[in-house]
Amino acid sequence: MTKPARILYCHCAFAQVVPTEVKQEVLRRLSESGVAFDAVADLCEMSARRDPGLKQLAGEGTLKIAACFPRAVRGLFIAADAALPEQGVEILNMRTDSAEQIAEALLTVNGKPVAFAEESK
Amino acid sequence: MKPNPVAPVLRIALYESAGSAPLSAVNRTELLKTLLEKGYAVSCIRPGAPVASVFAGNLLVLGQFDSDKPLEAESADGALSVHFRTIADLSSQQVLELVESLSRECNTAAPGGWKPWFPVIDYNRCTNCMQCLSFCLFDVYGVKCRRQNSRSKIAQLQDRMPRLLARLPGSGDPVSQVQSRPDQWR
Repeated sequence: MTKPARILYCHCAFAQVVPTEVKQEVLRRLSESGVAFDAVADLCEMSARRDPGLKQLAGEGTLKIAACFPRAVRGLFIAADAALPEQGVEILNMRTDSAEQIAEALLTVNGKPVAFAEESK
Repeated sequence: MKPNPVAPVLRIALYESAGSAPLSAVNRTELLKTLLEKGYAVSCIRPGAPVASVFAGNLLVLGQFDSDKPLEAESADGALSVHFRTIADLSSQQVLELVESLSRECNTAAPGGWKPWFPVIDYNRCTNCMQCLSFCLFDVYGVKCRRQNSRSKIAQLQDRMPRLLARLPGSGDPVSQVQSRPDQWR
């Protein structure tokens, strides 16, 4: 059985270039999914501050990132001396894709859901 | 020039696994939104999937714990301090106050103070190749703003432009990185 990918969600709280309705819907879907995930306020802010936490977020194993343009996201990690691995990282663009597309990509593996919606709503 | 690494902000883990009752979906979403809007990173820990490891600094673990937890704990090497707080019956705003209070106690960096850089175009070297328009992913350049850099536009740029992306590749780069000062907003 393959280990599920880690999920990293960027809320774009300061740069505010991700459409609000998209990021809030993705966050809601993640929150209700029952999966574990890391959420950061703003990858740009962390990169500008060279926050050491980016190295831990880059980490090991497969990773799905819901944020911005892939080239920009990789650049942000490189600037913080925490380059993402070439393989095993899937970057989803909340600026161009819909919340539905992002959530589906985050919460499915090979077309199967990684977690079911919890009952405690 | 890169700035020196800064002290990380307080990392937060929302623990909803063994020994801690899960929050309702509505409360969890509201709490996450509140903390993220204030600049805090949150790891949602649930059974069956990994999150990023934390090896150093201060980690605040929030949860609706079944039993009493020690308020503080420390990793074997002393590099990581772990703080446990129960959030049962607390509103999102009350949890935020708890987080900010602990952040002050731990002397961790306050998040959200980021506006340090904006790009400046050197018109003596700019060849009007327009490469900056297509290169920049944050939509900060436009033909009008290249010729009419108003104060309001520059102020907008510094909100939207990460420092590292202000540079184009190659030695002929006409875009410089300048630390923000009000007297440069013209």
